[in-house]
Amino acid sequence: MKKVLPVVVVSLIGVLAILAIMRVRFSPDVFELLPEDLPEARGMEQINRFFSRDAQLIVTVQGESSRAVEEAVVALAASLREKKELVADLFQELSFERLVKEGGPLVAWAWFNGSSERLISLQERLAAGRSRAVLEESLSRISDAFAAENALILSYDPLGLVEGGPEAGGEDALAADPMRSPAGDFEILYVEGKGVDFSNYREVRHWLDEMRMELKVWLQNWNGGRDKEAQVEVRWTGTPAFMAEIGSEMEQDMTVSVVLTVVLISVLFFLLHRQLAPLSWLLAAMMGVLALTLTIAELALGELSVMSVGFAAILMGLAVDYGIVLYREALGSPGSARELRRAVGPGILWAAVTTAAVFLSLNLSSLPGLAELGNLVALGILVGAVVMLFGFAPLASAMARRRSSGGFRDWVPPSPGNGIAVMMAVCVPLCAIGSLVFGKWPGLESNFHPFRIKESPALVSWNEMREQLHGESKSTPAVITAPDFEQLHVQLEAFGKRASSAREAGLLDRVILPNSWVPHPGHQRRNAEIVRELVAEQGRLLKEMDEAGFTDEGVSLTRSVMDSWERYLGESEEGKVALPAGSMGKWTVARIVQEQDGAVAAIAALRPVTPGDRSWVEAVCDERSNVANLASLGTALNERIREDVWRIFLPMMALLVLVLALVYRSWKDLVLTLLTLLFGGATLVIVTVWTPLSWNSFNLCGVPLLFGTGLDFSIHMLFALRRSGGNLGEVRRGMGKAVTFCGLSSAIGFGSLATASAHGLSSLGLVCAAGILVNTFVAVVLLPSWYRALHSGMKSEPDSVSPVT
Amino acid sequence: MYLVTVNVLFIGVLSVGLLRADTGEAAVKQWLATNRGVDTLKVEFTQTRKLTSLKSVIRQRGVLWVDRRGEGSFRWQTGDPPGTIVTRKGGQLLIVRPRSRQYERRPAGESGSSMAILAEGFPRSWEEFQRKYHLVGVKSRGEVHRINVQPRGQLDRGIQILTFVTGGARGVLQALEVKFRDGSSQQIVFDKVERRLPLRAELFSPDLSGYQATKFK
Repeated sequence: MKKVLPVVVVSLIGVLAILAIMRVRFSPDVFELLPEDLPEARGMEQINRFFSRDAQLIVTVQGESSRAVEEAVVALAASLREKKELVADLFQELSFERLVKEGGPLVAWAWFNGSSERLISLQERLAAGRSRAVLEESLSRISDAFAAENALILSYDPLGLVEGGPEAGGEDALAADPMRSPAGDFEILYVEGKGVDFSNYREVRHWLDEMRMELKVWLQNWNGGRDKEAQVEVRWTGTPAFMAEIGSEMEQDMTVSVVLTVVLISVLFFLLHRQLAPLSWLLAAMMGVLALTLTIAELALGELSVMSVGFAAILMGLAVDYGIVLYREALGSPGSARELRRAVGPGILWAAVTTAAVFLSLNLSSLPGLAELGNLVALGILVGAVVMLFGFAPLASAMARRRSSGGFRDWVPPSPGNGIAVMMAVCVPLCAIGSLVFGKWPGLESNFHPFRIKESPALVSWNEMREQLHGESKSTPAVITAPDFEQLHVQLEAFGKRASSAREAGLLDRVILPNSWVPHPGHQRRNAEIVRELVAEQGRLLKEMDEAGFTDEGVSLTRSVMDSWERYLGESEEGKVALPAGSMGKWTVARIVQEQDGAVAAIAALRPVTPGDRSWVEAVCDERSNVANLASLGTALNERIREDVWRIFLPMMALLVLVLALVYRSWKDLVLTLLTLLFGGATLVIVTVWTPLSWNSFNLCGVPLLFGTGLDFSIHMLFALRRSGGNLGEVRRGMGKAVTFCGLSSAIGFGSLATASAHGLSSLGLVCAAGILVNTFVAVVLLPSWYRALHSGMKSEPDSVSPVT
Repeated sequence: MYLVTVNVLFIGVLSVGLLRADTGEAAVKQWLATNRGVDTLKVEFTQTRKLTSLKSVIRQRGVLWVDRRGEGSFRWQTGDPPGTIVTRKGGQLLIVRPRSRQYERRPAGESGSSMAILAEGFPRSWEEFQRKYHLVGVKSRGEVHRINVQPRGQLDRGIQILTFVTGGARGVLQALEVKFRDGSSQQIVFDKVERRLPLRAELFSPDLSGYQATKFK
């Protein structure tokens, strides 16, 4: 019964922890994790807020020929439209016939919304006595046109309404086909989903699974009976795909890193202590800490971000240390739980508070995501200290009473001789300097995007789509916002001027402004009278077209434009700002202009000469104008983190030197601690110069954490050395073991994050794990030798390994 | 006996099918053979456009010169006097409207129209044909073969079917028909074809004195 109890309790608390993980809501939104004051971060957030549609899946179709793709897209669209339980709406590339049928409202709106001068010139062209000449000229051009396609298009627009339509301002925002590659062998369609709550990634995942199945079945049927050249490939991307992917990855990250940490720590504990009962209780305590922290975190934060999912593994690695300290102390000095708490409780509490403070210092970082991670770990550490002191301590003292401290293997390596230790103290920093001189300076990765998922099919499809549709001329979206459309035009005017100056300065090589697609209340008011007069001429114009030889099909576009003008006039008379009617018009303008939550936003397109250089961002952006460019965001994050490191690190260093001087009251011990930190830093420099491990804006923030652990370990070891009068063997077998276990378990906690899907978290885990291992080695193996060398007058005993201690 | 009859019928149907396929490919290859070794070409044609948006058909007579030597050049013009002249020399396309005395130059790659089929000259090998077209089928009546194809790449947009009409003992191209998705069509009947004739370089570089550069819509 006694043997079963720990298993039952561990299982029960494990289930509670799993339930806590399952209950946690993960936020796939990465924009909240970026510094708000960066124009690139604001731009991305605004694009997401105004223009991204939670339910809009982008399906891409690629084939060997444009015909194969066109036929497949038509068939796929028809098939998806039948899935009424999954698909609310669908938007595909418009055929010429549909453009003629549905383009009228958009053409009419473009005139109605454009400048009065252009409309007056149209009115003059279509005036009685002149319009017939326009029709004759069109017929002549239809007859003479080199390309039959041009003749065809002109025959549906003999009055030239389309060609003189939207003001492009030199370069049309819609110049590039937004849905089809120039070669025609790649096309996309937008699928608006329904049936689930698209703000909940778990429901989105379920919807996407069903869509995936539908697409798979359709693709099998379509490709089944066709030649290779008629077959197509279908992929998908867009907000639902990203949401489902990131949400699932986050769940998996947390589960995998926690399980991996728990398993590795258990293995480590068992290898070092060869005891199952304390291990079981320790695991139960760790699970309890996790369940409690997750519950508190959920109440405090609501949702965990893609970065903060890593906190659980770090927490496991740190919280277990307190349990180990308690258990080791209980074995060394068997007694009651109260006595145990009195002996090591203050130390654990102080350690918890100082470690929590180090993690809380991440709040000084410019990355809100990193700050959130720090807060969660800090909270968990405090919870962990309390759980271990009041939950695990009674169990530890009870178990220790039944078992003596003897019989453990002497597994901590002895310190080397003074000569070797001193030589290493000199050589390693020199090697680091040599590496910096002769190797590659370990700078920050320039193209690092910490929140990017390592393997993301949705991102691969997204990038492929951009490559196919925009090719080499990749432009950057800029978002301009204002409280209303009038103000938006003012902002656009100012943005246009700044962009022109930047272009003249050679910072940009292309600027596409959306002005003509933004509803213009002033233009609409001025144009209303002219449009009314044009509508009054409708009968005459249609009659002349009929007499010139145009069929009903030939006049349908003109008629549609006239009808739409009447509709816009009605809206204008009601005091409303007219927006394009018809699905094509609405969809087209919605890609460029959006109104939401009492604000309006428009998208412009810029092509920077050097995207990673931030000078173009500074030249065009202000509070109301932001850009969404990953290259310059990477540069900005690196700049910001460099500033952060000096801003946080230097004051922290100065403060700690002061505190250490007060604590030690010995310059020798102060020098030893600083040497430990220097040695750890030098080793990391060598590692990052000569191995693939590199620094980026995210893992650089791990430096203060490493600094904290290095300091922690050296303080524990130095005090132990002082207490023992420099007895290296005794310290190694006592505090050395505890510090080694703590170092290894913390390294396991951080190291398990290497499996995380987010690049930033994974690199942070790797660097911290490597740094902690170095710190552990220095504190346990080298520091005692350095201590002996520096305190040469002391009667210190040399270290030696005994088979059993 | 029943099985034998069925088998014979089956083999018969299969053979007819194979024979028809062979005949189709053979008709194409026969036509392609007529293009082989032809570097220069002058075609006088009648173009008929039947557009669903117009009550009456539009007929125009025109001339096309093609020189496939070097970078390849062509000159296309309709009307007499010409209403529109289009030439290509190297990578440049020149569109001239003599009536309005205006012209436009643009990169040849942007032409992307069905007329590029004419302007680039006809395929001369089966490989070139397959690279440019997907053979849908061949309908034969006597010596006249209607080779139905779908162009590959950009050119097929809006085009439902493209038909090369060949005829005569040698399988010479007689007409070109384009059927558009909206039901409109265009037919170009070759009234007179002259091969391997000397073409002057000036033919592809019209004199633009007194003309104004513009950008046609």
